[in-house]
Amino acid sequence: MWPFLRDGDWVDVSLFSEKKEKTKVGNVYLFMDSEKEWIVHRKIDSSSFSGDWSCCVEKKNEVEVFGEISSFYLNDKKKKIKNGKLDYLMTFFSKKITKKGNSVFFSRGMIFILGSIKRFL
Amino acid sequence: MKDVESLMFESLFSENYFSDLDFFQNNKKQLNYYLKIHQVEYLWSTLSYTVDEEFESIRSLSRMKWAKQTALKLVVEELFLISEIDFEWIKGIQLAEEVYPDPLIRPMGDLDLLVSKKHWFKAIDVLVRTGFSRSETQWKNRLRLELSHPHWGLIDLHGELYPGHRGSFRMNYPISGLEDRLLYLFIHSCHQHALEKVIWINDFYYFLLKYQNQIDFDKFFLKVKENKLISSVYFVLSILKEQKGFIPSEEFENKIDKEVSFFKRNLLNFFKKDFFWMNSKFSGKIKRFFVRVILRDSIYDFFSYLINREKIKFLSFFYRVP
Repeated sequence: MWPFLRDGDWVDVSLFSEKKEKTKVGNVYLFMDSEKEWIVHRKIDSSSFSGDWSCCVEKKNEVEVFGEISSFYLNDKKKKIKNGKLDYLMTFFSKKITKKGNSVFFSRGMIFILGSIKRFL
Repeated sequence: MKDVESLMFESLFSENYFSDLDFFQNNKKQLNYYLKIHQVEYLWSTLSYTVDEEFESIRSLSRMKWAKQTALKLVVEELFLISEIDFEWIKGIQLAEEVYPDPLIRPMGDLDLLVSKKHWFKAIDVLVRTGFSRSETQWKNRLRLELSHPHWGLIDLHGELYPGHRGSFRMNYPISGLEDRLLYLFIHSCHQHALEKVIWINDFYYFLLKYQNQIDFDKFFLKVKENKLISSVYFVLSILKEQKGFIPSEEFENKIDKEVSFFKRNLLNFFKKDFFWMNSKFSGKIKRFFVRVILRDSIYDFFSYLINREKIKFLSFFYRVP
């Protein structure tokens, strides 16, 4: 999820009580990998998750979503993650990255700008 | 049926007990049927039931289930000790070990755990890594999860104790005092589940039998009044008085029949007589409806059975129901 969320960040998770709880495109979710590692990814499609910077895609059927990430901590200050216009732009560009075309460099640059704006402002 | 039991016994005492799960699952229906009888019959056994071969065979089956659950309990305790998670056993398993004269008397479906809120995610993390997985549940409570393991069995994880209907009542880890524990027993079994299982009356009996001198009843009844549970408390006390001849303290001897209003008292008397008959006949929604309507104190709850809860919110806007 670099540059928006970085290694060692603390996050608040509102855990789902059911397996089939509804997920929204643009929100950030926590789930467990097949190798039993906790992963935080954004929902980019109705059927797939991906990190903002990475090209890999996790299919919805293969993973089990445990909860939604509601906020994160920056310098001991709590910051809420809202699903606003910036998130729609970020999902748009991270979706472009997963398609691996010529637009990868441009969209990574855009995500660096948007992610750092969302993190620090 | 005897062949099944003997095979189960062999598998229980052999080393490969936990690998014989196919056999266990194939005969699950018979086992459940026996355990169901066991739940109802034991109440009568304390009064008039003489111990014979049939009862002994049921006992052996419940022993097997108990062995499986204690194994699960040991596993979870070790896991949580290593990972330094604060927790507490609640409901069935706690009562069976602490209060009951023989833990085999108290059959249970799953083990209930109350975890402190701080370690809520850590507990889930530890259990999921060891192979537990979430099962589909009906409730939508964020601090409650049902986890199942293919070999060990079921666990109910609680981060907070509260019934869905009554928002004011909440309990967190650790539960302090016997009064709170007794109050939660009443809320869970009478208010939430309408005494669906007869075995829960034994819970009250053995709990009060052991701690009747230690419980501060004035403090307890203050809490009962706050949570509007008076009729359900007296309902249980009157059943205990009739069936077992047991009264927790002398103060209640006259109160038991007087406290509840005239209308409710007549209904209660009607249901007390037929309560066990109802349990054997209706196990579904009808019994639940009748018993719940009586045990509830406010009219607001009564209407929630006729109209959906969501519609009530809509109606209350117009009629200004509190």
